[in-house]
Parts: sequence; C-alpha cells; structure tokens
Amino acid sequence: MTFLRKILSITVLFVLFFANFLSYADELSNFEKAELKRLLELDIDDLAEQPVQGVLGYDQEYWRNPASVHVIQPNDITDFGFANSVEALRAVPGMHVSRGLAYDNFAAMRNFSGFSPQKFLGKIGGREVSQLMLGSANYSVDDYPVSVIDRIEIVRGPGASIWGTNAVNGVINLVTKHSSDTQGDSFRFLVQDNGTFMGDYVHGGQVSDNSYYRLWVRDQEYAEGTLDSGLPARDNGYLRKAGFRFDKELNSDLNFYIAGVLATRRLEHTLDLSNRLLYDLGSLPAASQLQLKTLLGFDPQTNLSPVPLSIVQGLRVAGIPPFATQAQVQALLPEPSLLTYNPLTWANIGTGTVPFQNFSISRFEQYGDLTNDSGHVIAKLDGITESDLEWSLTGAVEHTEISLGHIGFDWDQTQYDLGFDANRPLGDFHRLSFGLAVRRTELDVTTEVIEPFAYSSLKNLSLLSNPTNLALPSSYSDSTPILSYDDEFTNFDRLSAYLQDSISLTDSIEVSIGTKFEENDLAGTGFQPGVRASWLANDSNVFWAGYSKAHRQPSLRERYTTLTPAKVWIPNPLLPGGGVWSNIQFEGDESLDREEIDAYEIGWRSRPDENLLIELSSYYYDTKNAVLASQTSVNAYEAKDAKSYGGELSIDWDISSVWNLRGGYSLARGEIEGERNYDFPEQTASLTSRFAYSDNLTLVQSLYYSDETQIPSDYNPITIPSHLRLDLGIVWEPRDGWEIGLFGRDLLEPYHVETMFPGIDVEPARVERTFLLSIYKKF
Amino acid sequence: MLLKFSRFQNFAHRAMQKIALLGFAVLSLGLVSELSFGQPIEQERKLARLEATYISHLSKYIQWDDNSSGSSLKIIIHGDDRVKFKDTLEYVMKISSPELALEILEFSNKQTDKALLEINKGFNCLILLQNSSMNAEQLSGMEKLGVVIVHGKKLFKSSNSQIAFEHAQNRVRLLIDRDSIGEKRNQISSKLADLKSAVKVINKSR
Repeated sequence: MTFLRKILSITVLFVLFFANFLSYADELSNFEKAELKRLLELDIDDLAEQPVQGVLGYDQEYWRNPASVHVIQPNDITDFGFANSVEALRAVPGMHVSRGLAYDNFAAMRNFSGFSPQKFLGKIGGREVSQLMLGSANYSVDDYPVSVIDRIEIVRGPGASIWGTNAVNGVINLVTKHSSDTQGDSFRFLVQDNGTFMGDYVHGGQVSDNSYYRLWVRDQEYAEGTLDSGLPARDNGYLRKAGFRFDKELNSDLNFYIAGVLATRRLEHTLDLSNRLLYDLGSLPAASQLQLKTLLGFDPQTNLSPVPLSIVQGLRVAGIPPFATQAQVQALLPEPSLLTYNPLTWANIGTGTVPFQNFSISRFEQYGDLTNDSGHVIAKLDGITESDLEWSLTGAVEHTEISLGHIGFDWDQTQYDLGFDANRPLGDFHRLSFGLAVRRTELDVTTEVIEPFAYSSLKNLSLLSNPTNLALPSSYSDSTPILSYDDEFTNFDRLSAYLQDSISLTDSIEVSIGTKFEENDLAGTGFQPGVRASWLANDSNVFWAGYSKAHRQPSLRERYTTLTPAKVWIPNPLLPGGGVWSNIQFEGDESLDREEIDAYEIGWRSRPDENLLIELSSYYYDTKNAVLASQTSVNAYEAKDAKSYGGELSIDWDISSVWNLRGGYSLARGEIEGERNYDFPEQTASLTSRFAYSDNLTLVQSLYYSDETQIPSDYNPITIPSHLRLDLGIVWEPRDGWEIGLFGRDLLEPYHVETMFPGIDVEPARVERTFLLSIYKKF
Repeated sequence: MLLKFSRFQNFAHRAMQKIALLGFAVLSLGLVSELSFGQPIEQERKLARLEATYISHLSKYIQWDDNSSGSSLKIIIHGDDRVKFKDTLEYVMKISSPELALEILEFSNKQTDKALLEINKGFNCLILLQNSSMNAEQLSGMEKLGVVIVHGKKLFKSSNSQIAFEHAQNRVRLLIDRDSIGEKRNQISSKLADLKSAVKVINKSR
C-alpha cells in the first residue's frame, strides 16, 4: 500500500514537473482528428444536439477525462440484439453482467460488488435510483426504450466529489433524449425462440413552436426458463411500463421539462427452505452423540451441529447399515412429534432432493409473488446566464411498492428529491462546479409469517440459556417473520453539497479538485474529497491519475432487519414432546458504520492514429468497514477491512471504413482481511466486431469470457465455472430508419449457469442458447 | 434536517465551516489568476470543432460562385485563432470534400488591414471568429463578394452577413438571413430552411 502510494505520488510529481517542458502540439492531435471524424458522421441537424459544455464540468473532451469512462450509444444496444441497457453492459471492461433467472440481469462493477449492484451509483433519466432497503437498484425495472436513450455513461471508480455517497465502484448514468429529438413514431419488437417477448412504442409530437412531448409504452413478457437441475424455473411473468416527457423552451436560455414513468412487474420468486428446518444433533444426550459419531465414523471430538431434519428422517427410515438397524437409529434420534409443527405444509412444498455435504436432503421451495409497482415524476428547470453560468434545478418524487411474497416482506418507499447544480467558467482556465441537494425517504414496512414457519417456537436460541424461560408462554411465538424490520427507522434525510474546480494548468495539464459534503442519516456526516489530473503528453497520449475518498451507506437490510432464516428442533427427553422448536435468528447491526474507501487510480489513453484507441486503467481500493455477510457473529452482517485492485484494458479499432473491432480485458482481485475473495470473476474479456458488408447489411459478433466465480451460500455454495459466450448477428436496413436483426446468443453450448441469488440458495437457472428476432423503427 | 441522534451531529457545524473555507480557497485561486469571466479554452476548442463541421456541411448547401478556377474554394478567417480553428476546418474540409481545391487564409486582429485587402480580392467564404475585431460597418458590402459568417445574433442583425453561429441552451445552431436564400450569388439552398434543429431562418429585413 505504502509502495503504491509512493509510485502514485512520484508519477504525479513527474507529470507536473515535466509537463511544462513539453509543448502542446501545433497540429491537431489524433484524439481531435478522431472526434472530428465522429462529428462528420452526424447529420447537420444532429450537430445542433451536441452539447457545448459538459454536465457539471464532467463532460470534458473525453480523451482528457481523468477517469476511466466508457460510453454506450443506443446503436451499441440495437446492433448487438440486447433487449435492454443492462445487457449492453456486458461489453464494458470492468463490468460483470450475469443472469440468474429469466427476468433479471445483474451488473457488478470492478471488485467487491459481489453479486448485486450495491456498490455503484445509478442515475437513470436524471434520478438517482436506489432502494434503501436493499441498497441497490433494479435496472431492468428502471430501463427506458432504446429510442429515447441518448447515451449511457459508465464511470469506473469513485467520482465521489460530484456524485457522492454510494458511487464507490463507479457510476452508471443513463441520459434520455430531449422530446424534440423523438418526434414521430418509433417502435422496437424483440421475440426470442423460447417465447420471451419485448415491445415498446414511442410517439413524439410538437405542442407549439417551442414545446414538445413524447409518450411511450413497453411490455416485456418473460417465458419460463429451466433450472440447472432441469426442473422448471417458474420465472415467467411480465413487466409493463408507460412514460411521458414534456419539454418547453421558456426563453432562449431557459428550458423546462417534466417526465414521469409508471411500471408494474409481476413474477414469482422462491425461497429455498431445504436447510431451514433443522435438527440439533449437538443437543442430544452425550451418550447418544458419542454413539452417533461412532456409527457415522466421526472423530469423538467432533462437535455435532444442526442438520436438516430430513437427514434425520432419512436415517430413521433407512438405518445406518450395517452398523445400526432402523429401530436402533429411531431410538437414538427421536423425531419431533408431528403435532409440534406443520409437516403437511412442508410436504406440500417438497420438490425432490438436493445435495447437502455427503447427503441428499429433501428439497423444499416456498414460492410467492414478487411484485414491483412504481411511479415517479421528475421536473427540471435549466438555463445558462449571460455570464456562462450553467444551472439546473431538479425536483423528483418517486413511490415504489415492493412485495417479496416468498418471504413475507413488503415495503413502500417514497422519496422526495430537490437539487440545484451549477457550473461556470472562472477565467480562461477554471471551471467551477457546485451544487446542493436534499433527499427525504419515507418507508412503510409490513411483514407476515409464511405458512411453513407458522407454528409456535422459542423466539430465539438465547432463551435456552435459562431453563425457566421454557416454561414461560412469553418465550414462544408463532408469528416471527423471516425478515422483520425495526419500525423506529422509517424516515431518512440526506443533505449534500459539493464544490469542484477543474483547472487547465497548461494546454496539456488539467486538474480537478473538489469535495462533497454530506449529512446523511445512514452514512453520517463526512467529506468525500477527490483530486484528479490528466496530462496530454503529446498529440496521441494522455496519462491520468486520481485519488478519491468515497463512502457507501449500509443498507437498511444490513442495519435494521432481523433475519430468522430457520427453525431448529432441540431434542430434550426431559421436556414434554421430547424437545422444543426454536427460531434461529440473526439481527441487523445498528452500529454498522459507513464503508470508507480510499481509491487510487491511474490510467493511460493512447491514439496512435485516429482509427485506433487504446485505454489502460488500474486501481487500488482500500476499504474500511466493508459490510459483509457474517460467518461468525450473532449479527447477520459485520464490518471488515478489504482491499481490491486490478485494471482494465480496452481497444477500439476502425480497421477499415467498414470494419470496427472492440476488445476489453479486466483483471479484478479482492481480499477480505488478507484472504482472497472470489465472488467476482478475476478475469473477464470481450471482443466485438461490427462489419458493414454493404450499405444496409451489418454483421456483428461478440465473444465474452468470464472467469470462475464462487457464490456464497448458507449451505450450498456453488462454483460458477468459467464460460465463453459467442453471439452472432446480422442487421439489415431495408430502408432508412428501419432495422431488422437476427441474433444467435450463447452459441457455443446448449446452456451454462452464470449466477444464483446468494444467501437464499435459489438454484441457478440455465442461460440457454437462444435466437432472437428484432424489428426496430427509429425516429 | 440533520439527524437528531446522529453521532456525527457535532461535526456538522465544523463541516460547514470547512466546506466554506474550501469554497473560499477555490474561488480565491480563480479570482487571483483571472479577474474576468470567460469561456475555458477547452470549451472554445469544442466550439471550434462543431463550427468547422457545420461549415463543411454548409459548403454542400451553397452553390458557390465560380470566382476562381475549377472546383476551388477560398475561405478567409479573421480573428485571433487560439484553438487551431484553421487547422480544424482544413482537416474536416479535406475529409468531407477531398476533391475540392482549398485555399484557407487566416488573419489575426492585428492583420486586419491585410485581411481587408485580401477580402476585396474576392472570396467564397469569410468567417469572423468570435473575437474578431471587425464590425458591421467594415463588413458592409462584403456580402456581395461571398458568404459572410459571423458570431452572435447582434452582429448578424446589424450587418449584412448571411449566416451566423448562435450559442444558446448549451448548443450551437445557425442563423440564416431569409433574403440570402436563393440569391443569385453564392446561392444558399432553401433545403437549409427545413433543418429545424440546426437552422433558424431570420427575416432581417423586417
């Protein structure tokens, strides 16, 4: 760490010292030539849509940007047959996109994201999208039709001084188009050979000389997939959305827009209960334990722990031949009375068997409705003053109702946002960006007990420590939900302010320095400073480096929920019924502090000529208080120190006027308190090709590689093998503005698995070879 | 607004002081080095690229007078060019119209007299940079020699220039004098008027 800091310091000093002796080239740089070529490819009308100055000073000449930035254009989505913007993130170096079930793709960035998008910030259509409960966003639900997407910016690494809390591993910023750019009609239909369908339609019109609107609808119907074991995944359902946007030019330097979206999604989801009904072998009388260890060939010193009740039931039926008969095992392992719990309910949710260590256990799955209804309205007023102060005032209200029927946990979230952002030049060499924002979040949480757990049990295991508790009715409950929430915490406020100066020290050196200040009910008060610099060494090479301190707030789930994932039978011959059932409980940890990350980054961007761009970036994150699932504590989560490091290489090469190749490679390693962590693939790579066979026929090809990952689990951790994915496609433009595409995806093998939901042990679904037809009419 | 029970609450006041101090430091840094507000050089470069690309498109919408031999184009640029506008324009014109013989002459504000001499010899296109010192009076009559492109609505309206770049709402677009469309000399195509996003046709004679 110290060594790395030294290297970074020396590099920065080197850059600052020598840069003054290097003159900025008189001729156009290769970066500028490439940008001019891009502009020349635009229609003259499209030139009028090119912003002159950036979003809060961030949209500099992109090659001077002192950060690792990747931009996805709408045609990167349609040309490769991606259904939505999350799928398109597959080709971004440093991002790992995986599919668990039919309806969701999970995106993670760099390391330490693990499985879910918890550690990068999502801004979609001008809103920061996040569910405080789980600390993540659902990009499938928040997605837009491709024809209204202007671009998707992916900033790898924390840009905390502007973006703020939760922009730990990076930022995804989906920008939608002005209504005047979506005039007329556009639609896109996609049909997959398994029946999955998606269609959206957008209509835009003009109200007056200076006001425009658009309306859109989307329907996505998910066909049922197959689990890895071959069983049906029961993951069919739908997502339906509708939205609008109205833009009005109030005067030549003042704009207003208001936009809104309604979305509803209906699916089924499952909770695996195979390891949730337990039998505590360690509570058996000592003599029985010793006898059992002998029969099973265990060391006498072994501590026996709880095992699934179905193991005990299996042994009671089969005996332990040739050492013990059925009767001997039944005497050794007395079964809980059928009256103490609800065996019929359990029998009804049995779905075969599943491996558990060296045994095969009964598989129980609790299905329930997973619903998501949401709506939001956002309004924005922006303008530029005569002194070039660019400003915007944004207000948004969002309401979401989410139900996790499979575990009996529902919450409604309402968020109110108000923000002011501005930037202005300060002389020839400074651009000052500043802003202020407030957010209020209100929650309403309800829980219910799922039927298999609806029977009386000791509230928690700690009550066993005092035998008198066993006689008290107050020690028992038949209504403990799997997830309960501390209702004391339902309103959360956040106040933030930032200030950043981007300074052109010389023609070749730019430095930006700034900080964000936040007072946040979940992350406390703090500053998140950042300093970044880029050096245009000559007309084809840019070096950049950055340091940021970033924060991540613990999710409500991590802080304020109590998890009761299982019930255990405590055999005790002294008790009536031969024992007692008890809940196994893990509490959230209210004392969990915010995660603090010191992030060091360095990068090189090179354009040997205007047709070839090479980018290399490297990072080192030092995280304090990383919130991770606990293996040892009585709490569900605990804070640990973690480190992650790696880098990305990307190449964009126009081999000829008709052939473009893009390649990416990412190396990402993580350590938690010195131990390597493998829940993120160490290596990923991609290679995409776009070949214009003729003016109206384009052939596309994508090859993706993902290293092996290990998905943690309560009892059934799985290893996702490394896999290679090949997609091929052909896009035909029968006439201007129309595209018909035929795509084959995952062509190398009939299926593979990519991820599963960690912690709840849902068997991963197969990601199968599919064929897809798309018809797209542009505006 | 601040959390009642936040254990960080005591720091809030100090935090605000710190951010105010940082703001003061940054502002001081800027004000000491630069006393006037203006466009950063990076933004000017970006504008130059956009405007050069506009001109390459425009050249295809104008039926140039054949005032020189064959298919050639004489462009005069006036103003202090600190963002390589001439190189930028030369590059885009060569890519978009490689067959065109291009002559681009550039004169700084200090070379205004030389520029006027050259202008009077004739040109296809005269481009005044944003900082050009030429005024409406000096431009008088030049519209008869070729297409004059200026910056800003004010100079556009007060002069006889046919075309102007207008910067508004963080975008660049063209203002075109309605009277110049379809004129016999250096005929500007009426198709330009159909480009609603990029072009605003102004009736200067009103």
